[in-house]
Amino acid sequence: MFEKLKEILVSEMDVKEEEIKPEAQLTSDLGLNSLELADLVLLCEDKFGVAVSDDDIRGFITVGDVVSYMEKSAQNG
Amino acid sequence: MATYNNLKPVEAPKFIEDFRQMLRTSAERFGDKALYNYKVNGELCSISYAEFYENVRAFSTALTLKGLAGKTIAVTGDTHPAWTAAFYSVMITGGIIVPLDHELDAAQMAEFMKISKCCAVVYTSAMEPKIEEILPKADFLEYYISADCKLDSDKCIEFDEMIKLGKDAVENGDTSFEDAVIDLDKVSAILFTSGTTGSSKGVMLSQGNIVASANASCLSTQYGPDDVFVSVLPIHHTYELTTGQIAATNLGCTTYVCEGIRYATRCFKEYKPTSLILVPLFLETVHKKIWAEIKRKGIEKKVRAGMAISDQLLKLGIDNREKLFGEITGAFGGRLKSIVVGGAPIDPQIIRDFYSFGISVFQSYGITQCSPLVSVNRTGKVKFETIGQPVDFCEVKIAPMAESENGEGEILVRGANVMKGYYENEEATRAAFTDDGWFGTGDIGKLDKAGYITITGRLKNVIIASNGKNVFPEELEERLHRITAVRECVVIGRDGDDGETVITAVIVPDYDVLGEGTSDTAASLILKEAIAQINRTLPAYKHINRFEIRHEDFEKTLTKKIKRFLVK
Repeated sequence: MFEKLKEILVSEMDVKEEEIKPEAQLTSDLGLNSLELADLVLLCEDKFGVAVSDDDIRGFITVGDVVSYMEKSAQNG
Repeated sequence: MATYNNLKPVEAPKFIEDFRQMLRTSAERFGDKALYNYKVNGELCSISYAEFYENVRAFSTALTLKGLAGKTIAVTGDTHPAWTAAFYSVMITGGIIVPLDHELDAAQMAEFMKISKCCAVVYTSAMEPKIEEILPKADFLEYYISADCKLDSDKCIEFDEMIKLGKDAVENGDTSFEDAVIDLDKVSAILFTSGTTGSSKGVMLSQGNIVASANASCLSTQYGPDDVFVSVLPIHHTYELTTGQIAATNLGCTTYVCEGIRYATRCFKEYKPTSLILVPLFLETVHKKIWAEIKRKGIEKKVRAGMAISDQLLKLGIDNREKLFGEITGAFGGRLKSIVVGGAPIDPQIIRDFYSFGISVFQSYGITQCSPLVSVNRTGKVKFETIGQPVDFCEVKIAPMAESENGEGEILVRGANVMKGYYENEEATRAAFTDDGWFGTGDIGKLDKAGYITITGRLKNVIIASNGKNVFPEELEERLHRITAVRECVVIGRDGDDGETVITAVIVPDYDVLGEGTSDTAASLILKEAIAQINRTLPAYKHINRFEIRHEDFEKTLTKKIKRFLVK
């Protein structure tokens, strides 16, 4: 899941590959703004077939947060 | 000065006298044409100009029958025809509408409704969980009117039931809608300036204020019945409401409602707008993406050369931009001609680039207290680096600052669009106006000889995020102070690399807590984790994106307040 997310961040969000680590913060370390964060969620929804509520997006601070959310959702789905 | 020549002239807009007249006139002129296209459970629905007018007439009549005419009523939720119908109806029947941010939590929402003495709330389905939470606690609310859902309570009534009630009454000769006396000068709306009751002020606007701003908006832009908008900004913001929804309704445009900001890109591609009302965040993000893609393809030099040639050809009246750059601007659906941008500062280079690509960006300036439009760049008279000239029905002057040498000073506004004052806050109202009645915007700027305004700074602490939302540093500082390792802090907005506002905390660590001799690296690690925890509780636009460690205490006033203006 981490690798798939990394791929999205590099190809769609123009983030440098070497900066993407589980503990990297999406806004402060990787430089995503709120709209890009929303875009990332949409891309993840499409790619991983999960639905993310607006409230849950608030919990997406680090790359690891997104990875574990997607993994959990994929297991439950 | 640039001349945008890709826009067709349209017929002069009809003058809005009041909202009842505007809706009636638009229904007569545009009848069966779609006013709104919007999705309900994934299905695209449509409401025509004529149907919308009938709904407003019926809803207003039902409000009167329910004893709600002249009362204060809140409205909250995503953009929906029921939202705007409620907005117009409450005003037409002499009441006060209180548009609330749908991102507020239930407790804040209830608090704002209580403070403003609301006796009913109109809401859309997305709000149902919050309304369910409010319902048992808010005794003061007599009615909960749902746009497309219904809770199990005697106090709840569906919007469609209200419409039926009103339509039946109209058929039986009820003329209360036509008979309602509209006082344009009376307070008709209260808009809260931020999401927390402590720091928020209620801006009181009259119908006349909003009508003036909507008329100014119609006169300043080149929109007409051929235009298609996609509404993406929150509707409770006066910027979207006045310059978007109300002006578009008067001009005969069709508006597609985007299901939420996160779906914006998808909506642009699907609905193919010709015109948009946006905040800088959208343009910054698309601009960044466009250039990233150009660089990835290794065609930067080629594109830049193409832009230079195209700009020269434009001066000769030859417009090849669609052919040259149509693919680049495809992110907006392929038909987009113009964007009005406001709500926050934008890098003029972004406007220049979009112009070269074939999209005219009109930078504007507004503030809720001015309903909100104050100035805008107009077709044929654009200065990229300015916020344009003052709009109709409104005067602007600068209050020169003693220490300024280039005519900079606070931007003052006077006119039909300026608010009546702050709700139950005479002290703040007094402080907002000069003795001779000019409203102080809190923004610092200068006027050139042709009357174009440039904003150069802010007097107030508030940080304007790129999405146009206000971020109050005090709210974030209060949270930072809960971190034991923080001794002092100041939150400021810094300009980021892409022209975005980066919320930055300048922190003086508490070495009594961290331990004498703790390195900056070690302190940073602790602070970073603590700030991440704070960010988890905040919407993304309020995230503290950077922090800096400072070793000296901040300079303070005699009353021990930090001189935040010294923190750069």
